[in-house]
Amino acid sequence: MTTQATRVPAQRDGDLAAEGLSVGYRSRDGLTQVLADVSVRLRSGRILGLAGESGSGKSTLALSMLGYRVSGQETLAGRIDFDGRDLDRASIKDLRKVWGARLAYLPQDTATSLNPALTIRRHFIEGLRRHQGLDTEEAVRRSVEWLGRVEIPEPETALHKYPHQFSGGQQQRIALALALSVEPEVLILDEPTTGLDVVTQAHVNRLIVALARDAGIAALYVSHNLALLATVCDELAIMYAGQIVEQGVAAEVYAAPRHPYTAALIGAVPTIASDRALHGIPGIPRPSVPVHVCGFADRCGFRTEACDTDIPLVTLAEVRSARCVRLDELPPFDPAAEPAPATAVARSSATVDKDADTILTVHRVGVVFSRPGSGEPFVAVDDVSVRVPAGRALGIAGESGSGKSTLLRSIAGLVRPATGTITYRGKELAGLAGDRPVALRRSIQIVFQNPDATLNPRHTVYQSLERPLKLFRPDIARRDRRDAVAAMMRQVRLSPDLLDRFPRHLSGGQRQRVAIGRALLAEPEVLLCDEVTSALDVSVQASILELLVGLQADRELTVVFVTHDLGVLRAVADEAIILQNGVIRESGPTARLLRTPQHPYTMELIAAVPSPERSAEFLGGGS
Amino acid sequence: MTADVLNTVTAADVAAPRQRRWRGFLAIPQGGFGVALLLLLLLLVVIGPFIAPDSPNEISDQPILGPSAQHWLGTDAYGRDILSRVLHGGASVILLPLLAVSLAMVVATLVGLLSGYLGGKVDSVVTWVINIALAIPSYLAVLVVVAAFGGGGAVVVTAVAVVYAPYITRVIRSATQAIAPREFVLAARARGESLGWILFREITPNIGPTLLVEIALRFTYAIMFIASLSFLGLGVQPPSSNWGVMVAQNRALLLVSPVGVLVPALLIGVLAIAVNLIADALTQFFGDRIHERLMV
Ligand SMILES: Nc1ncnc2c1ncn2[C@@H]1O[C@H](COP(=O)(O)OP(=O)(O)OP(=O)(O)O)[C@@H](O)[C@H]1O
Ligand code: SF4
Ligand SMILES: [Mg+2]
Repeated sequence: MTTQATRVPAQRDGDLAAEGLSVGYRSRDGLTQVLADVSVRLRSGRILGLAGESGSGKSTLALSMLGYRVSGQETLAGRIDFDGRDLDRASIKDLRKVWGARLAYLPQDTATSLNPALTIRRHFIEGLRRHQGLDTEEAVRRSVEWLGRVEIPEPETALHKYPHQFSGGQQQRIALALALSVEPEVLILDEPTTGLDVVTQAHVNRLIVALARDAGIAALYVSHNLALLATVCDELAIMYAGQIVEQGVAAEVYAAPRHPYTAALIGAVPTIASDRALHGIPGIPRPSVPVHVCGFADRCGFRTEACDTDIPLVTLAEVRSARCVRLDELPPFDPAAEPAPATAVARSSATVDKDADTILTVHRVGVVFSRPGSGEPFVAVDDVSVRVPAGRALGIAGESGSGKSTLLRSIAGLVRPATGTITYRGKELAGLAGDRPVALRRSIQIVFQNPDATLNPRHTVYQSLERPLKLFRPDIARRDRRDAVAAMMRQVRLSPDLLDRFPRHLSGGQRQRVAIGRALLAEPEVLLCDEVTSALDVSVQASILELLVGLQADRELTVVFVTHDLGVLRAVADEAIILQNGVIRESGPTARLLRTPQHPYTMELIAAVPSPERSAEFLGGGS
Repeated sequence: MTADVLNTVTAADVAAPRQRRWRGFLAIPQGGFGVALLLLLLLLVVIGPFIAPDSPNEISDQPILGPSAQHWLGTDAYGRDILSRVLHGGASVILLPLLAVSLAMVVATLVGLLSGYLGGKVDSVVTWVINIALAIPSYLAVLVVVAAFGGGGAVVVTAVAVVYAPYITRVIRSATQAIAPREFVLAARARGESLGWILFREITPNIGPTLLVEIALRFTYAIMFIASLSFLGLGVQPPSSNWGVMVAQNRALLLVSPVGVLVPALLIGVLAIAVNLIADALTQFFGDRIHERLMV
């Protein structure tokens, strides 16, 4: 509580600030502190980005700043200053007056901000009448104006619809319009675009920035995506284990981080701009606030004895501070120039062997589903042909619904193509996996997207891993299976003492590692990966990608990797195809494809990738 | 390699598995109370025949006596000791419904799993049959069957099983449909696992909670159902001392010697309530856990 984040300029009306805030949650097991001595100030017309791994306390801070307390939540120290008032101690009656009027909140899930039973009109009218004292006619006029501003087509008609009649992106834009229509002074955004498609995400983010700046709103933007924050925000605060570990002007923090954690976080973000290596952050984040030690100490490569104490937040410049004892000795990190350790994900065109054999050929494959309800046919994959060279990584990218997963599943034998053939080393594959000979099934393995569903919740880790051995590895005697499984656990960087645990005892990243291990135990030649990292935190994502690329090189695996994230594509794939509406729009070596795209759709996808280096371009584009 | 040590996640890093699951179940008031009641009744049924003072069908020359030191619950119209009959008569009250529900469960699980997992034509046929079966009132169906084939344990058990199977099938089918598209099932299909493995090893353990709740609920209904059939003279036949039969036979004496009706009726009621409480508690218990485990 002795330190201040930045030297704050004189207080102004409409500023919202957390001052030395410490918060804990009380449960049966006692009190767990989740925020320690957090000071941030939101200033009019500026957007503060708050980044950190999941569990670091981002959302708790966001909600606390609104004066919102969940049950069991306790403020241990500090205050929330708004106009000289302490929101943390304000009565519910007072809070209701400012919520939705002067303080607006936009969560990730529109289910919380839009009521499915009410028309869009009702949503707007209610707030505008109550908080702005407008009559109905004026309120309707204002809503139409705002729906226009967030680019909802035909605003007058839209007013009479219900939320579910809009797409996810449209719903989020309506929620944004709703929040801004009452002309609030402060806007708190918690992962507002995380559930959305890449292109839609970019669109919504542009709107948020433009509208917030226009209206002089003080905004807090919470996200785990550091590249996105560095692109859209003015200032950045990095949170770790409930503490702000670094804060400063967004571009400066991103280009030259001072805290080892910030540097590690930036190193974990995949980028399309360069061949920079991706590194995971070893270890796992600590679940609560550190006491008498640096919170990052057990994962930090620069730790010394001096770190075993309470670390103060040191002010480095007007708006720059960091919480590390070795700031004087360590020069600013350069994320772009960091040397790549042997295990880091680094792909360059040099590794591409031009004359690799073709291992998989997808020839004019089409997949047709019948639409639920009407039953009319719907083409998910349309006449796609691809050749996958042996020992290389092919990436498949495209937005949601483009047919990426369906294409991959048809290779895995999970959906039967309506037309076309898939051949493996010259042999035509049966449509469904069950009809393929065992040797072929063994050679092609698939890993899925959702860490919550990829393992059977009722099987132990060992039971899940033993299965491929039973089916595909008669060469391994029954009594040697446990050893083989344990060896695989080590390869995917898990300890064999987890073997008798159930999936619910593991984190998402750990479950994905088990799923990868399960696929590899069959000793496949081809590994199909469907968005295997998209549900994970950036740092976990980086370590999984690191693992995959390492394994691919060691085992000379052929990998087909589906992703919607072009940065991930760049990190793992030698060659890539871009899919839209089930049709291939462009294909080629990944680096070339991303540097000099030929198809307008590829260009659109690239423009949608947040990039701190091209922030102005990103924010200006599309409108 | 130091990097390996740093990267490898060990058991110390993850939450330890929690063991006390069943204690958690008993901590739910309905659960603890229901289990206690059921255990008491089971105790009565199991050791009853050994502690009964007389044989259940021993006719004496002292009919229609009120409670006395010699006959604690009095005697019935044939002079049989009511206490002894109560102590002997519980087994069939529990066993017949248990048999009926088990039979229905086996058939329904098979059909429900197949229809939910395979979908397509199999599912259409099953759904069609279920819809027709559900349109027929249960009592009517069983009465017709019993009327056609005569009463008795075997007929009643089969009839009740047939009537309940469609209900259970419907529940299992929709639970299966919820699990079938999950990625671990897809992974099993991609490995080329057999149909049996996918249905019984991948899917069944995950619908276990649903199955258990359904068993408990159906068991409650079946107890009441078969007891009332026995009361109507369509189920277990006299001279059995089945509690339902006892209520039927002794109801003529209700005004003279009410215990002969009240005690067996009360026991049937308590049994049904105990099982129903357990069903309730299971729903609560798994409600939280299903959510936690499947993260739906
Ligand atoms: N079983 C199915 N029945 C009907 N339509 C389906 C089915 N599976 C997928 N689709 C449709 O096929 C299209 C392509 O789906 P697919 O899952 O391949 O997209 P994707 O590119 O992987 O999207 P995402 O990034 O959201 O996973 C979508 O419009 C989807 O609604
Ligand atoms: S204080 Fe020490 S352990 Fe913490 S970040 Fe700085 S160097 Fe690393
Ligand atoms: Mg997909």
